[in-house]
Amino acid sequence: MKRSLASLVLLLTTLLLAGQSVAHAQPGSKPLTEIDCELLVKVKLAGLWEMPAGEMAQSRSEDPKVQEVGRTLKTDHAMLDTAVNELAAPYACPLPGEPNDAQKSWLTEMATSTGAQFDSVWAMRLRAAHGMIFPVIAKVRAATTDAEIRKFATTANTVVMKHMTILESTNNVDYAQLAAATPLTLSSDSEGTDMVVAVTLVPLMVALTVFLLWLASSRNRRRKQMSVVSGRDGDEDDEDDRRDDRRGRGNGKRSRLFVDKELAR
Amino acid sequence: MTRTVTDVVVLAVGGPSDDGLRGVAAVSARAAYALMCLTICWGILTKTGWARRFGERKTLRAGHMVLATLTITFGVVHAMGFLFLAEGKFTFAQISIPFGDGVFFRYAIAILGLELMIAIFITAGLYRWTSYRRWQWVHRIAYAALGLLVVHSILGAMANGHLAVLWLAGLTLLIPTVTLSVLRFVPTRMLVQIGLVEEQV
Repeated sequence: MKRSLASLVLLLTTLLLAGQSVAHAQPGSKPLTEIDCELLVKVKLAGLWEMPAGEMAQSRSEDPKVQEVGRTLKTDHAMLDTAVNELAAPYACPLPGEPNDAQKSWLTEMATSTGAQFDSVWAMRLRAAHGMIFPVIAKVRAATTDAEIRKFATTANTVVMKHMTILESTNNVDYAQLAAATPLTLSSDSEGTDMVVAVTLVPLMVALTVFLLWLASSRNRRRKQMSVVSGRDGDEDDEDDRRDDRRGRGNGKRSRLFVDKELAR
Repeated sequence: MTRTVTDVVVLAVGGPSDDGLRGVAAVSARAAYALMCLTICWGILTKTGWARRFGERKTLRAGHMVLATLTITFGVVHAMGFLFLAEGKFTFAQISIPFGDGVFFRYAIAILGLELMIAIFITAGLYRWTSYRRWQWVHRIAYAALGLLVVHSILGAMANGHLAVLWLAGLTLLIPTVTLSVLRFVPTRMLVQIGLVEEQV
């Protein structure tokens, strides 16, 4: 049994490692600095939520100006998305496939708003998000050593500047609220903190559960030993145990635990 | 494509005037999730005898039944809430038939999970009128319902943009439940070897 369990664990580990190597093997292998890769990831993430947001503006807003700006955002981000995919392909820089949780919550907020409230939420969330990516682009544009990335940063800088300007032209941006502390953070868990927490938590909780069970069964054992010493059979549990035994086995043997009965079958 | 992403990823249920109702639905969903995990844990601990030190078996069973009743109640409140939305409200058919029009995958698995739970709840009362083994197999469908409802919870939290907040609490409740469920079906000999079960007397 121990050997088969060990084989199973070995097989699962091998499959896991193989899966990881396949996942890592998908992007190219050329090295890219962390900040350059961060730019590509953030522009990709921006496209993943701003394209649906642009489409939402066309279908949900009643303001022609907002609809027009939404159309422009969608078209520009489709172009940037293609550029990011092509640029990232030769590098070892994996790109996300869906918006992060914060971006999904912004889309949800937009999808559940109507009329003037939609226009306001739409412009504010997009304008704030563009404001967050602006310094990242500037930093890469100033410091990168890669000619292709520098060219892309120039394009991204122009596009983001244009988007901020046209978003402000809708007259739906409240500048006082932009500076206020809101949940507008562009956290994409790119550092993998959540993953580290999850990977730590799972074995920890499993170990804790097993430890508590072991503790409970040790106490049961001690209690039983003590009752045997004191002359009691320690089997004063209710009638249900007996009925379970009769129904489950019917061979006359008594068991204290259901799992014991399973073995007896 | 982007429309599909918007429809599937984004929660398009209710409007600004439904905030209160959405809050009730969300709280009842979270309560149902936590109680579901507790119900299953408590049921396993009761059945295997691991919780024996907490009281007599009848008392433990009663606790399991109370938890199950609360789980189903909160689950039903969560589902029924969607009947009363001001914008985009659901029909009774949409919250009770898993494969109808306008029912996304995440709703279908929730309907199936809740209906399985209700079926188990009803058949639990038939304990004395059927064979033990048959009753037990029906009762074990709860593990399938758990899986369906956990997937629904994850997809629902993603759609609402709450996954970043809820995943840690959800995982913390889920891991002991899954661990106990796995241990429930591990061969007894192995449990005896690792000291989790006392040897047969």
